[in-house]
Amino acid sequence: MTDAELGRQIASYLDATTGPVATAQTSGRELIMTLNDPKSGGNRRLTRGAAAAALVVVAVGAIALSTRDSDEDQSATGRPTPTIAHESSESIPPPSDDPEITPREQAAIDLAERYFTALYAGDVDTAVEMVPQVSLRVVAEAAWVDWWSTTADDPNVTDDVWPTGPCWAGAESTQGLLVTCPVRSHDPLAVAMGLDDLTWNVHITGANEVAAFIAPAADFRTYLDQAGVYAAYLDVTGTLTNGVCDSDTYGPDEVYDPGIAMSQACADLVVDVADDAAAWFEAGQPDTWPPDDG
Amino acid sequence: METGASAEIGTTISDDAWFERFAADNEVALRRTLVAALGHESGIEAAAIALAYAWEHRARLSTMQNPAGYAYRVGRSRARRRRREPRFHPVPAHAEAVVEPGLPDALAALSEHQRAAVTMVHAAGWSRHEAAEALQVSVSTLDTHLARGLTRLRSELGVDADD
Repeated sequence: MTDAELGRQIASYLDATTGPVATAQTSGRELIMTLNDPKSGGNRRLTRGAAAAALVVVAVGAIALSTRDSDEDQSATGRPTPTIAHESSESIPPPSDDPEITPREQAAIDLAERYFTALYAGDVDTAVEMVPQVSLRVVAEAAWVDWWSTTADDPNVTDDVWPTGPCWAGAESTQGLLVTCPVRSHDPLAVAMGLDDLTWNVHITGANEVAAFIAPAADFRTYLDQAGVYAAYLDVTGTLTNGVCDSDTYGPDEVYDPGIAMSQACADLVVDVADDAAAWFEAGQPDTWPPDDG
Repeated sequence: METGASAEIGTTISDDAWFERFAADNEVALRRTLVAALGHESGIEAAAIALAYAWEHRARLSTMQNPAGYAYRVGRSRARRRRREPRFHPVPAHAEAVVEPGLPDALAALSEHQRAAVTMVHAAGWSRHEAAEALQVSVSTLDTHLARGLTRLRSELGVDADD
C-alpha cells in the first residue's frame, strides 16, 4: 500500500467518522450554531473549551456587527446578529429548578467569586494568597489562565471580560461542578461605543479544573483515572512542573507508549497533589493551602 | 491589562471574508489532523477550538504565512485530553469498502506526532514545510515521524509498500 493510498484511507476514515465543524459559509453566528448542533455531522455537546470559544465568538461577533450596524438585526452581509445576552447581570436569574446548592458547591462558588474579584481588581497577590495555590494551579487556575487571560504572544479578547454578579452552581456532572458567572466586557473601545453593558455568562464548566475542591475526597481518586487531564494542566504551571512533568507529558516520541503516557514522576506528583487537595478539602478550609502548612 | 479585543473590534468585512475562505479551505484539514493526533473525543473539540480561535483572531491570522498551522497548535494545546490513550472510532459500515478495518487500531499504535505528520502530509494535503511548522519541528524531524509512522502503519495493517 503506497503512502498516497494510506493517506487516502486515513482521510476516508476520518471523514467517515467526523462531521464538519464549520461550513464554507461559516460566520461567527453560524459557527456557534454548528458547534452547538448535535446533529451537525456528529459534533456533540460543547465542552468547556469549545463553549468558551463559542462565547468569545459571539462576543466578538456582537461587537463587530454592532459597530457596523447597531440598530438592525441583520449585519451588512445579511447574516443574523449574534444573540448575545444584553441583559444586566441582575436580570440573569440562577436556574430556578436546580437542586439546592450543597455546602461543598457553595464553597467552590465562593472561592471562584473571591478569586475572580481579586484577580480582576488587579490584586494578583491577594488572589494568589487567597486561592489555594497548588490545587488551583494544578486543576483550576492553569486551565482558566490558559483560556481566559492574555499572554505575550497570545492576546485574548476575554481578558477584558469582568465578572459582574454572583456565580451560581449549575449541575454536577461526572466531571464535576458547573459554576456559572455573569461577566461584562470592559474593553475601552467597547465602552467608548456604548457597549460596556454587554453582558453574558461564562460557564465555568471546568469540572476538572475545580475538582480538587468540589470532588468528595472519597471520590477524588476516580479523577486520577483521568490523570492525563491533570497532567495537561500541569503543563502550564510553572510552579509544579520544574522538570518533573515536561510540557509534553508523553516524553520523547521514541519512547512514547500510548498506554503509559505520563512519566512515573509526573504521576507521583499528581497523586501527591491529589492527596493534599483531598486533605485540604476535608479540612473544610478552602482559604488556606496547603493544609499541612497552615 | 491588555486590550486584546481592540484589534478585533476594528475587524472589517474583509476579515470576515478571510475567515470564511479560511474555514472553507482548512476545516477539513484541521479536523482530520487534530482528530488523528488526539483521537475523536479531544480532536473534534480541538478542531472546534481552532476554528473559533481563527474567527476570534481573524485579523491577526490573516497576516500569517501558515494560519492553519497556527490554528492547529492552538487547538492542540487547548483541547483537554480526557484519556491518556486516544480513542478512535471503529470504521463505520458504510466506509468498510474503502478503509481497512484495522486502521483505527493501527493509528492508535502510532505516536501523536507520527499520526499528525502522516495525516498532515498524506491525508490533508499540507506540504512538509507546513506540517513541520505546525508541529514545531524541523523538516528532517518531520521526515523521521513520517517514515516511522508509515512503517508502523503498514506493520499494524499487515501490508507492504508494494501491496
